Amino acid sequence: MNRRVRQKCRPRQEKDETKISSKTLECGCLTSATISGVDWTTLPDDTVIQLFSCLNYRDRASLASTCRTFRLLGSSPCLWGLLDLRPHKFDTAAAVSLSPRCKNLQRLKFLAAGSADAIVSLQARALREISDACERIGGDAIKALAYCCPRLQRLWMSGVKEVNGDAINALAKHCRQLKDVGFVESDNIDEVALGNLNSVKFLSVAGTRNLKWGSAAQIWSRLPCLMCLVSRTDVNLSAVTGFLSSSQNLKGQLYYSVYYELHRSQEEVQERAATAVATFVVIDDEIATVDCKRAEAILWGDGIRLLLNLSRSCQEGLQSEAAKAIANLSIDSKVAKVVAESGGINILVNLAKSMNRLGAIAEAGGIKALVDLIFKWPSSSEGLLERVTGALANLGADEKCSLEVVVAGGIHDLATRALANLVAHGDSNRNNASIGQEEGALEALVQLTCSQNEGVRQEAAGALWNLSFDDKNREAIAAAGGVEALVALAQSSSSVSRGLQERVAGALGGFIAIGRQGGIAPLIALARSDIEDVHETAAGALWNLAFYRENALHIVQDGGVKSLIHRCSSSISKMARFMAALALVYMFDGRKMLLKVTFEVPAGPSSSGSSKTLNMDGVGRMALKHVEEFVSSFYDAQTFHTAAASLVPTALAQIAEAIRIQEAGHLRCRKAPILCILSIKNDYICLIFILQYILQFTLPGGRHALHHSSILHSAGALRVLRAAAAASTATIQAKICKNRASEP
Amino acid sequence: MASTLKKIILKSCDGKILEVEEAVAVQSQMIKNMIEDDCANEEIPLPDITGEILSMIIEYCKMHVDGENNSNNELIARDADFITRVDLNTLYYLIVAANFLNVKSLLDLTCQRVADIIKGKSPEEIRLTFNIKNDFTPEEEEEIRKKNAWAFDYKD
Repeated sequence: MNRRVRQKCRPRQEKDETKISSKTLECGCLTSATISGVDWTTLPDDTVIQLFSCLNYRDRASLASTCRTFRLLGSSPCLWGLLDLRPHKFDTAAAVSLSPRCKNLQRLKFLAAGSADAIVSLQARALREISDACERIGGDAIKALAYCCPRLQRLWMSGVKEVNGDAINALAKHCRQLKDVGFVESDNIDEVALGNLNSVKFLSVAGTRNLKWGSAAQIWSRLPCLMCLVSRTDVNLSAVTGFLSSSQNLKGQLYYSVYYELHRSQEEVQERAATAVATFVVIDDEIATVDCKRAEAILWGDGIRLLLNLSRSCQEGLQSEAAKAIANLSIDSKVAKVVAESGGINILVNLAKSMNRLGAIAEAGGIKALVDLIFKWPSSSEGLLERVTGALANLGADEKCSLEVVVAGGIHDLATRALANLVAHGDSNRNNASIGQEEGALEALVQLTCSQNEGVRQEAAGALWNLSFDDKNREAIAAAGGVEALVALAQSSSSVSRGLQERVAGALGGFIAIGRQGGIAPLIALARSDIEDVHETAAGALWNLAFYRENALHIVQDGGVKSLIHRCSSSISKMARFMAALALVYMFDGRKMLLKVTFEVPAGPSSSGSSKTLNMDGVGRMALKHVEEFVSSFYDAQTFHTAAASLVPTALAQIAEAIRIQEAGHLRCRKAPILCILSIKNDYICLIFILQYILQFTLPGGRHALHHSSILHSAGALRVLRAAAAASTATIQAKICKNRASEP
Repeated sequence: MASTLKKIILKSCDGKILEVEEAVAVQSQMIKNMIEDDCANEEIPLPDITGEILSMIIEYCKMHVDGENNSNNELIARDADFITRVDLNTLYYLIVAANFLNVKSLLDLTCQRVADIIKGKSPEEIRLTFNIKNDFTPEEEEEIRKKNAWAFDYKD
């Protein structure tokens, strides 16, 4: 019978019941969406505790800080049986503030405690298990531990400098239930004193140096309970045989090499072996240096296959350790290749999928391995990259399944960032194409835009933005529902970070279909933002979209013209003003008749005065007036004419410099809009505008200058320029531009 | 089999009556216990659960009974689809109901959803999201902040 027991204390229960019943009375059968203000603090206690158990320590602390009810429940002893402080700094101050919660603490894991005092300060007298990796822990600390944790059953330490006889004897004296002892990768251990640990069943000295095996074998073989001894490296054969022959209880289970442990059927031992492999290969934890020789030794010993098999196990701890070992090993490129080739990626991915929160570390390890693999072979020709991105993409998709991906979202962040990075580096489009073609990658990115975590959403939007420059990818993203997702993201983006807003705006700009899906309005809202980056990108996106009649109509309908005019005339960012001006010109350009509005130059000499079909005419005129103001704000008539008359290079350069908008260099413009701008009606103000346009996009040093130049070249820009050069007012710019455009 | 066709009758607090196949109803440990104790032959009144929430829970249980043969991933995807459609208030009532009816998988799913929403938020953001009243004095708040400082102190 596993009926859950309600742990509610009496007074609160009454409170709850009155609250809930009054609520149901008031609300009757109204749809729940209309019921407002449910009181989350009235949730059943056991449910709140379950909720706490789904959170990491930081989120637990945040939730417990919201109100008294949650503070009380957050310190329930059942939440604090295991304390895994490995990601945290663990010093005396932390230990002191934790100690009230540690009355029931049974298992403690940490890396590198600040001092021995820290563990003592926890005052966790019920502690049964300690796992630690720390160089600074010395004999004294272990002695102190022995005094304050009499119920200790498992003590597992790695990287200890010295464990002296005093310390071990203290353990033997005070910790009578100590069954499982590991001093691995340590420097000096008093092997004689270890012989006093009469309760020990499992002893590991794997990787520990300076052991005198001769005497150790003799002494340890007399340990009454010893079942299993793990050693490694420098034990010699005679010591082993001597040990085996003299030991009473050790039933032939001496392992002097980790591989043999991996073969064992007993999962707990396998887990430790995997841990041993994971730590075995890493020489320096901080910069994750891996000893290649060791890694290769494992490689030749068929260790990878064993580890991969282990990571298929259903036992989480084991999976976790195996994944960590694989992750560590993958730092070595030879090993990483073997991992990839023997299907390791799929295994890691499945692992990450099936992992519940206990396996979070494994997931981190797995993903780290995948990310490492990506960076190892950015130019791999074996399809590896594709497989890895696919794997990462699947991992990303994971979150949509709202799986137990409990970790703070950093992992997804990492995976997405890897994808986004790949995309960003893909100027050659090689990587971009590989992501776009990888089944599921785009879907995953699209799904990530719904992530709870803002950082993930931001990276995903950024990745989509980058990808959207490729026509094929754009289609694929749209097919994967990316447009809807981005529109939804934009609609909910009023309160999110500027980075996210900017990326959403940028990504939306690539999709002409958003007009139909209601994406224009949020984009216009973004264009109204006070944040420079955001409205700049939004204006750019509107410009991209304005090229299409349908979108242009939407922009007009949704009040975008006013916003654009406002941007065009008032933004601090030259770039934003330029983008807004471009958008306006696209919308109201007479030749294209996008909106059946005649483009009439207000004071231009060649005013054609042709049909004024719609009442939008006035709007258009107003818009273009602002564009003109914008354009002319770059020209000082005086300098301009002097330069025109003299054709002195420095004067020309000055003009070029004055027009130049630094950030425009990063823009990438598609062919169609460029062709459109070139075909704009040929009169005074427009010409200047075209010239400016060409100039901005082809200035040397811009990221996409070559791309634009080649488009311009093929579009016959030179012809246009020649025509422009003939016009008297625009000679200079035309000449400047001609140079730029003829560069390729 | 005759037993799978047996219907259990549930009555919500707002008087809605729902007939549910036994195989679906026993997803609720509470109802299962009642059936085992032979107390489920008449309609079962559910005092704190509205008809709307009850229908959602039955939808969920059906999904799990029907999906028994599907792959685990498929079920997880459906769970995700189910839970992401739910707004916060509904989520609250689902939790309360899942706890009352003792549908463990739904309770896990809903708790995880709330946890996902909480993740990465500051206390103030959590209060805003869940409409929680801050009942601490400023001094208490400072003390809590100090006590929990370690949890925000990650290794570099």
